[in-house]
Amino acid sequence: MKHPGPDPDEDLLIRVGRGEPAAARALVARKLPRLLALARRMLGDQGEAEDVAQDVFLRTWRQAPTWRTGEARLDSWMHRVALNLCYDRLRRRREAPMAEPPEQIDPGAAADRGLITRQTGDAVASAMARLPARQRTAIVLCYYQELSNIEAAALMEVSIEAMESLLARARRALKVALADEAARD
Amino acid sequence: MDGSAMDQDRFERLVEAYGAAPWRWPEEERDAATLFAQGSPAAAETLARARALDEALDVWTLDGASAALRERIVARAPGGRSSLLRRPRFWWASAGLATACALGVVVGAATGPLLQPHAPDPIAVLAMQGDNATAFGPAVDLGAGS
Repeated sequence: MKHPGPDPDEDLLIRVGRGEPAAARALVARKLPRLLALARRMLGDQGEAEDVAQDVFLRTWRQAPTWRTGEARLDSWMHRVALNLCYDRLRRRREAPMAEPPEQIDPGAAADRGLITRQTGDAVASAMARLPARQRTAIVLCYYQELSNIEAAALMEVSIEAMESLLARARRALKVALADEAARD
Repeated sequence: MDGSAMDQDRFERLVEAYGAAPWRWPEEERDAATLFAQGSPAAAETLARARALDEALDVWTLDGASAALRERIVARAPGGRSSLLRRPRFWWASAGLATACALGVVVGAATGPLLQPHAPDPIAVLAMQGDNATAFGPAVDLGAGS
């Protein structure tokens, strides 16, 4: 994916490739929290998320000495590697990234208003875990990772329209799941 | 772009996908959608519904990365502690050094007697030199001649 303007991480990566420990430390400080959060939200497991994050950095360290400037942005590249590693793990759990169950009925405005106060982080995590992997990816990238629709669509290799469809279906499914959760409490 | 480029149908689809926060909306539609929302009661209702889910999603926060994980990753960077241990060149150099040391011991043990074929047994020498001898030679009587 081509981006206008220079890659803000490129200088740091070049220094990593030269074997400067301070640069590696700075890159880890800059990228690890985002990548760990991505993997944690995709996989729902802290230990697996740490393994994925570590693996992404090991691949980055291997690429650093021969990184070709002006091609992919490092942040996009690391996100792509992290997503692929997450998908590998989801496949091993037999949670196919392409699987899309039938859509549930939107519970409506009354349920919307009841969502907020009773939700806990665990309830949201549980609702996210029940989403099909592609919908979960769309929400994680656009909402939690705060990528633009263009960046997220490119990472998922879908059109903008398909990305919007995934997001809308994911949000409707989350509303249903969270409304159910709130009704049970 | 003015608000006329946006209608309720597109505004709803936009908000259903990206939520109620304008900064998440696609850049090319953000201004038009913002303008549209300011003059439409229906848009305000759409935003309120989406905001409820946004706020619920915001509740899910995560702990940061542990210091141990950071250190493990940094240690394996080029030039880091662990990366050195993983380099094949390092292991070849180490193996070469170890082989050289081992060869040195073997060769030293094998050739030691050859280089000193007639080296006397120090115990036997002491026995021959009598009770006053030391390993360095006959005992010197410091009192002699004084």
